[in-house]
Amino acid sequence: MPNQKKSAASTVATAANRRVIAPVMASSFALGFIVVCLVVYLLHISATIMIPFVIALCLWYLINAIARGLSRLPLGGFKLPRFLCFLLAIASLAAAMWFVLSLINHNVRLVMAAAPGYQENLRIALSQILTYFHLEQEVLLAELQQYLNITGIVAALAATFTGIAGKTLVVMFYTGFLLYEQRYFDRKIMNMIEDKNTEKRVRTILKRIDISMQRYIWVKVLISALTGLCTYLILKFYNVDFNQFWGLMAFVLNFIPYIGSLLAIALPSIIALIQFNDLMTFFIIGSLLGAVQITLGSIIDPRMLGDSLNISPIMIIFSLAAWGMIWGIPGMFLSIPILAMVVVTLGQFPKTKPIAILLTKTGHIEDDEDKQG
Amino acid sequence: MPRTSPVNASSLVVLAGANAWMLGFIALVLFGYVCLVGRDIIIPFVVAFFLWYLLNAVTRFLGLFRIWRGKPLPRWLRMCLSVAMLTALITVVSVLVRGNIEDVVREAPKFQASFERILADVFARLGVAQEPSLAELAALAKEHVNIGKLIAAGAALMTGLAGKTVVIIVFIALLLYEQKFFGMKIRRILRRRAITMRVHRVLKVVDVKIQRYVGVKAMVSALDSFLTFVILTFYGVDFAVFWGMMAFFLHFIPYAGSFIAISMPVVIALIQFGDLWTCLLVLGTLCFSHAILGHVLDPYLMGNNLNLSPVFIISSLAVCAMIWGVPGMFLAIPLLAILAITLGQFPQTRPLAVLLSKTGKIDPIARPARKAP
Repeated sequence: MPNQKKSAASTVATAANRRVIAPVMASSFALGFIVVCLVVYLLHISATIMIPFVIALCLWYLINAIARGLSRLPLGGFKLPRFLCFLLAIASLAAAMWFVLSLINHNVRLVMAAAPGYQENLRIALSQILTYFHLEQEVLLAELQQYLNITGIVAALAATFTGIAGKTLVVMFYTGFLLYEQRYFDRKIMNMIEDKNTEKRVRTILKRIDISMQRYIWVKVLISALTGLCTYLILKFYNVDFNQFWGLMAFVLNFIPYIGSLLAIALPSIIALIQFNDLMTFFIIGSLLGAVQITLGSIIDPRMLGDSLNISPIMIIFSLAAWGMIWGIPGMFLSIPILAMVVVTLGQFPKTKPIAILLTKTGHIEDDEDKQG
Repeated sequence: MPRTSPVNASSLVVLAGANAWMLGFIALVLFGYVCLVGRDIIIPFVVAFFLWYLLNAVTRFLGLFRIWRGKPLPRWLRMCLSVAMLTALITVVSVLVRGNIEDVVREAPKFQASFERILADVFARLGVAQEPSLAELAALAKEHVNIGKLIAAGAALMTGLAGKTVVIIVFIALLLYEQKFFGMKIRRILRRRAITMRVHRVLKVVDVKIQRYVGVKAMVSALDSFLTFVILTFYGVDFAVFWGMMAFFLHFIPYAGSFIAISMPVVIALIQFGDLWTCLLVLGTLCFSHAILGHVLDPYLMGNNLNLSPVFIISSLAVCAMIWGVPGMFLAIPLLAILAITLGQFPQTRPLAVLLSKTGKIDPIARPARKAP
């Protein structure tokens, strides 16, 4: 009987394979580990090359998203032509970036100029606090100063922005070519993958990534803008210096999970402490900012994002640390989107699904079988 | 019926395939690393290889002329002729470059001083920079645009290559001597007929495409260099010969080359005339000629010859520049083209070739031609 024959053949095959499979599998894991290490190392050493490209990718994506939004605008049955949509999208993005960058640039200059004076004030304030609590002064002061080097922090941030601005030309080149080439992307995917099923799966992955990214970006922009506005208003109300700057920083920092919020609370509060030399104001401002961050970041944000970004907080922190190590500050901004893409991609293949489940918060992964079944 | 074991032949195949990919990746990274650390040895060899290739191309080209009794000149004579031509060309170019570099180096400090003055003046006039940033900008400009140093670096590159001349000449001579055995060698190494045919096919396609690339580029570059010379002479800019010649070489570097070839003469013009309008005129004319040559004539002549995605060309430029510096920039396109052609000839790696292509459509895999018995 053919059935028996077939099963006999497969038994023979498995018996032979069983001896081979263990070493092959072991070498797969070992090689996988080596590859991951190498990739991380390469990403790290080629940061100067990769970061402009990644920024260009983000910009390209944003331009496309805005253009798509514009093309769907209901203008009484009249649709904007595609070409005009893209021009408008590029123009609006450029204007927004120009505005934000010039504001940051202006404020960074002011803060940089004032930073040394603040540092000195900070030292005095700290020694006051320490005497108040009867703590050993010199040792702690020296330790704290190492961590609270305001000039250093501000200089690092400023250097990041300047570095990005210096790469503008390269970023523009990349973005331009991505926009120019995108008409071929569809054909490329088609020609790259011969198997129809795999092609369908890849398209599903791209669509899922697209949907979750769009949601992530809009929600984050909205929440960050709200956070920035609230921070600005609170600081303005208490007349803290550089309230504009800190409002903007709160907006920007909100894209970095956890650590960003922490910085957005701590830095303005410390500035307030130094400025007013009053612990009470410091606590009030700190708790107000904290309340804003918690309400917006931990209550409203997850509600709005829902399950679209189902990632375990532990993994987020781990990814944040890893990307921070690999690419510095730009890496921190990218840690969540990259992790989300990884989860979506890994979730689509049976072999890698366990890893995706490990990365999620609830352990549930949306896939085609669930929907169909 | 026995329980179907997860250990079956197909998963073994998948694992083995994955292992091959991972090993390939590791090998590629190591290859890049070897290129990086072995640059002092490899670059002269690559230059020699390139010149050898050029000699052969010229020899073949000379073979097209039927000079004497309807027959082309004998091969050895043609080879001698092409060697003589190349030597003469290199001598003339290097003498010219050397003379000009000496001039430029002598003038550099004067230019630098005048450049700084003009930079400050321009920024003051544009009102871009506020009080504190003016000094910063000057310092920044001094740090980055150290003209003397830049030219010294260029000169050092040329001198370095000249110092390697002996090595390069020996390499070329050996390659010329050995080339008659190459075909036999490849045949002997690859005993399997199908593979031999495929290797031959790859070499042939690479040969045809690179020849066309170099030929078209050389022609357009020569035209570009001549036009640059004419434009600069017309406006009376200093070092017109030098920049005209530099334009010839810079044209071989994608994107960045044109940028340098336009911006440097414009900066020189700005310094020389101290007049924004003249400088803008020079800029406009140069941009116009570059745009016509680079974006109309070049694509018209080149057609879809190499079919490489601009995004990957820039990436390749960045990577090659990181590994091999300036010589790497010249090789960015040819290397990428060779990679794409090779990958495109094997079914397993074809998707990568599609990814590297501009239009997503690449030449079909060549079937081994049936030889008549």
